[in-house]
Amino acid sequence: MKGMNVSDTFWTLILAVFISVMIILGIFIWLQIHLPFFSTADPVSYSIEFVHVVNKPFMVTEVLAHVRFDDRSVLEQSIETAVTSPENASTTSLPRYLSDYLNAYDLREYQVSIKNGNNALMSFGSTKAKCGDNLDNPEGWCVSRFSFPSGVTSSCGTGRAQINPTQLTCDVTQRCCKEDRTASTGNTIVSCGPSGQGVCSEGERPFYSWAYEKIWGTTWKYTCEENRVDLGNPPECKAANGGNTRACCAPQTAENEVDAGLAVKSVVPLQYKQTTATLEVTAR
Amino acid sequence: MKFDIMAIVMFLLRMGPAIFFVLFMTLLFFSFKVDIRENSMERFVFELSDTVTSDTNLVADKSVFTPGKLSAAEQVEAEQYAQNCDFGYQLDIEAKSGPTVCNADGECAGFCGSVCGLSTIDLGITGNCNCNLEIIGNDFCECKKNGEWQDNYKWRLGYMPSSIAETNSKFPVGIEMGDTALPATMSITAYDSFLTRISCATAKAFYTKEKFAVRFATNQLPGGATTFKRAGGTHVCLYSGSDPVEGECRYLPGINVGDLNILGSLLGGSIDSTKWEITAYPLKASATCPPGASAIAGRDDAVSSVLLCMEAL
Repeated sequence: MKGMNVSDTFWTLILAVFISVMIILGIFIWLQIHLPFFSTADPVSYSIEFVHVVNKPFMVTEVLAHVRFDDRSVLEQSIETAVTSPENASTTSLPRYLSDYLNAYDLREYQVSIKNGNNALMSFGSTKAKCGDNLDNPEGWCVSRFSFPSGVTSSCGTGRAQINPTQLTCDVTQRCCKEDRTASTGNTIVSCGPSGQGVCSEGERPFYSWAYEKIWGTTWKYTCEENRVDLGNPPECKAANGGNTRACCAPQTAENEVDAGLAVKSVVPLQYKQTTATLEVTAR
Repeated sequence: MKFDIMAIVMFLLRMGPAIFFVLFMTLLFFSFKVDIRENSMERFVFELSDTVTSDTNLVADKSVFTPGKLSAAEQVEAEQYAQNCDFGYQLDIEAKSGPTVCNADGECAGFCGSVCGLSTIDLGITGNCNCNLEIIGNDFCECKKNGEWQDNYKWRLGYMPSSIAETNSKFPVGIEMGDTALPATMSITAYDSFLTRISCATAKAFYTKEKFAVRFATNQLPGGATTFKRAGGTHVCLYSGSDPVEGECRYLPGINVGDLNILGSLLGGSIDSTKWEITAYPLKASATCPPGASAIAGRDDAVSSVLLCMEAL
């Protein structure tokens, strides 16, 4: 260091510190952009999406208002069902007709109901991704045995039980899971969600989530198993089962999907004299 | 004063908190992401679906199309029922019910009239309406539309040129059939292309009385396009020589736009130029490129024509 004065040393140090900080910042920014746990777990992220239009149920309803089965239109059959009953209105075959009709649309899911107040007089939905022995209303959902990036899933999740139907079955890469809060999975059943419609479940998470939690000390966001409505990771689930069932998962029904903002319901009032009923269509 | 290692260590120790503070602030800064997705093209598709399914020129009831009206709409020029300046579109409506089963040619007359819009039906394989015989499976009706046999209820409205970007959405609709409706799908493809940009700049210049510029790369030009000009009547098109380029036309009525010689501009510019700019000038008096200030229309002037000038960047 002979010949180097204080000023030289000072500015060399400043330069060295500056370069070091720049390198650290560069590495840091690179990690932010490229590593999955940085990009998915960003603590303050705000997203604005201007368009989220879900008009399918309304268009389906508009078409159904023009459709005629046998000797009467769908609306006429719906009103007569609401005023009397499916048997008295001779509309017991309406669900089968409408299912055949709506299946042509290749919708991901649909649910059609005729309701008088809270009383569902007639209800049917798509059987895509469904399984079970009740062909009119299959009780189970087909769930993949393998999912990315979590790997092989070991079970249907807490609050669901695997069933082996003989009528409507899944393919070999899937298992049939039925919502069943009495099913034993080794975990305590803890209700969750705004109206207790969900169950705290293991959910799915990537294999490196444990490393993320070890390093960063914060929890990974657990997502629900396939064909369940994800209600987030509420506090009641974070505390349940030693923190192993943090995903709040509800059955994939039309009501739960509408509540979770995943689907939209179109409601047509059916009025005849003193009777006021509704034809409700949910589709996505 | 000599080189003092302790002074350096102390300096670094004092700098440490400042460095960590900077790192912490950087963490906060880069953790905050504002993700704005305007989705204007997707929004246009949904708006168009609402417009089209409500247009009494096309439908019997909301979302239920009438075959006769669709056949008539196929014959008129594109974009007459709905238009967006920034994006073009193509609309496909197809029944999900599959082919219409028949036993004899005579049973297909209704199908042929609805699907192909035939006013004069000539039955048989040598005519324009036929019951197609199948060795395996049911025989089905088919009719000739634009010289090709068609065996399903389907219609296409609009153009689909080479695009820079495009998006597609499908909607459940119905096709009126007697007193009921067949299930059908309406597929809307919206696109952004060289033609939509240049025609929209022309329209904006005309209506807002301001000049509008469009930048593009030479690889975004549709193959063979040499000229942009009015195709007579209501539409403007890209031409290859004296013929319009397939699918490269837009509805732009009532605007007097000068021809743009794209090929001439390309050849007249630098051979290395890959980026170009076309500027649409609203004119109150005729002029050549680049127009003088006295020829460009102001706020209170009437726009007589739009001049397009192309130059390399």
